[in-house]
Amino acid sequence: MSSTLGASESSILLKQGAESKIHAVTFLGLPTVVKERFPKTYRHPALDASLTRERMKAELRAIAKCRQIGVRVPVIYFVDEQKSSIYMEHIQNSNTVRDFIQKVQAGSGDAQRLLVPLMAKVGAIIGTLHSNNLIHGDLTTSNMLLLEPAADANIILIDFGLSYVEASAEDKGVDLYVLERAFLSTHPNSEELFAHIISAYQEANKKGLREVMSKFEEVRLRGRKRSMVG
Amino acid sequence: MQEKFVLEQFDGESVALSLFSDVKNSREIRQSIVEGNVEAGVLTAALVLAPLQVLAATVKAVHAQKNGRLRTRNVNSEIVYNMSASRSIMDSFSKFGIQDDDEAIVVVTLGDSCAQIETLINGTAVPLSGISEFTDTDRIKKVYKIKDAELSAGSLLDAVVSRIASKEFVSY
Ligand SMILES: Nc1ncnc2c1ncn2[C@@H]1O[C@H](COP(=O)(O)OP(=O)(O)O)[C@@H](O)[C@H]1O
Ligand SMILES: [Mg+2]
Repeated sequence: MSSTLGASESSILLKQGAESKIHAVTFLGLPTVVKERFPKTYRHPALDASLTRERMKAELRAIAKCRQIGVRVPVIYFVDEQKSSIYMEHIQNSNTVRDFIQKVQAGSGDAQRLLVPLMAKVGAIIGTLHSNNLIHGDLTTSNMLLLEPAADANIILIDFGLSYVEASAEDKGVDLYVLERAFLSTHPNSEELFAHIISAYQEANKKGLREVMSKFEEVRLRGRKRSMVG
Repeated sequence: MQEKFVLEQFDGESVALSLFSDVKNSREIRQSIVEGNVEAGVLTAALVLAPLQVLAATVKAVHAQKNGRLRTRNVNSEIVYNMSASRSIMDSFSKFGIQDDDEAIVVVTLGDSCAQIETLINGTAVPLSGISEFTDTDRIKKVYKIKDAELSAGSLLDAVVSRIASKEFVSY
């Protein structure tokens, strides 16, 4: 009996970002994505190498921590340190939460009713991260994958290159603010939907909640002032 | 009774896994390994959950060898070391390597170095598909430090494979 393992020759470019490429391959016989971080030409090479390494390390640590606290993340299969590449489970039969919301909002269908429970799930997940002092650092609806069927609201969190552990209310407030900004610019006129995230968040992260919420308000205010001045 | 896998990523290099039960001479096998006379990674079957776990450790070992980055004596000892989530070589060997009183073992051989180890083993070759009969899940949870909360985010194998793949970067 013999089966072929390792990354197959045929690799498909799924996404090309500013700092990373995502390829779909087969590895150890499993559907896999390779997230490769590459140098940015405008940065100093030595600085760039250490930044790239730090991001990859942050991603691996946060993914490990998420799994430990029961938050779903891709399985890690292999790390190629020299190529700054993480081989991880390819979450198939999924959409980004971003694409899902946009699709639903563009239609007039019955699917609208799925959005509220979905937002509740998003809020609960972020609440779980924060109650374990894990800051995601880049919360957007593109960094959340939603498994089919969408009605089950099974979400897998990804893209942890900016994540870190920190207990302070300020960092949690900023994390929420980053999400709010990203959310409202990707999904215009969705303040009501975003409010569902916040209320589920409040249920899931009771520890020091008042401080977190007042920091959130504070950063929001600062953001508003800045945009009025600038 | 070997199960062969081809590591396509590494020029088609192949790896064979085999499972032995009723092993009577584990002490002798371990001695031979210590003396450097065994070209195989030999594991305590109780801590093997599935082939994928061993293959994840093997891919890392072959990759490290090709890049001149082995942390242990050779690629076979590296497989044993990689099975563990710990970065202590001693600790990894003493948990995942063959122990003197082991009755069930998993043998990992790369390329064509298979034949010689099999003649050394005084035991019964059994199909690898029967591995779960020898797996001690409670011990796996303990050794890899896997709590129940983690098992709500995925399977035990997911938790184990993720640890093996990221052990250089994550402290457990
Ligand atoms: N494990 C995965 N399974 C399926 N798709 C993925 C996976 N990881 C990333 N993607 C896809 O690639 C995109 C970019 O990946 P991400 O990790 O967010 O990198 P970036 O830092 O470039 O945003 C995601 O929005 C998603 O569409
Ligand atoms: Mg992203």
